[in-house]
Amino acid sequence: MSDSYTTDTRPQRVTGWTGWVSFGGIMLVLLGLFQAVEGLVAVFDEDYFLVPSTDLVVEVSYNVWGWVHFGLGVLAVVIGCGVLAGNRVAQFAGAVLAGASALIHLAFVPAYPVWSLIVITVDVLVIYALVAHGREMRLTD
Amino acid sequence: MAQQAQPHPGAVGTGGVTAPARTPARSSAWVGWIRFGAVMMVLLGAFNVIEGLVALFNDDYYVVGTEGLLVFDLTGWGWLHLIIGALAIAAGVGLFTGAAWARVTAVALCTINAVAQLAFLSAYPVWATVVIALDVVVIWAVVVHGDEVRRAR
Repeated sequence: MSDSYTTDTRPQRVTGWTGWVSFGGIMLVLLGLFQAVEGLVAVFDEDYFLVPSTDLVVEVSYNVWGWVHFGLGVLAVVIGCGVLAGNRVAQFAGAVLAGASALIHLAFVPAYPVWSLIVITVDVLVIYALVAHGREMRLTD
Repeated sequence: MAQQAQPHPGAVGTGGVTAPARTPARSSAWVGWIRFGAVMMVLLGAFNVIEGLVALFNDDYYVVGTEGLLVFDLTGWGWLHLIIGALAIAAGVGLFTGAAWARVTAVALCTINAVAQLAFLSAYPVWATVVIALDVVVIWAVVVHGDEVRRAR
């Protein structure tokens, strides 16, 4: 009886944690939307930011910043959908992209500190969800 | 209630009845999280309603005027927050049932709301940050623990 109990519950326990991977996927989508908004603001309304782009660590125009943000944002939404679909490569790519996003936002902090901090926080959530729990999705295949 | 949720495998004498009865009891330890998510969703809706009402009736309260806002003016943002807030309260109440539609609606609504709050952030940074944090908490509770309410019924 105790044998059948354990074989019954094992897959159950594994799927119980794949919620984290889905959470990571949704957070990637949210991160992408945040970055897309930032990118559009940088391209079309650069007076919105607190400092001129020459005051940033990487001195490129807000136009360039904007398209980089927007491109990464679209990529994050696509990869997030891939993670939600259970794609393993997307999990890896999502964690790498979140890391890159965090570094970029560290350099972007003076332009809009609160946005950058929020995005970096979401980056960390994505990395945790995908790195700590990514393997569990695999076990259910 | 936590005690009765853990029948140890060595228990004898109850026969075949224990196996089906055990399954719902196991998930109950986590069900609290989705109820928490539901309450947070109602709270978040209330925050949104307050933001919206302030934007409509007391627009001097915010740090920036219309020129510092993205996309809409303060009245537009006020109505948007009010509508999202009302929907969030309704979805939060629906979450208590654990129904699939309520969970999908909650996650979609929280995602939209988080983006809206990000765009509105300059008006009142701390409020918007708090609401974004609540959005993430609701999404977390619903996605990670969402199906356990259904299993518990």
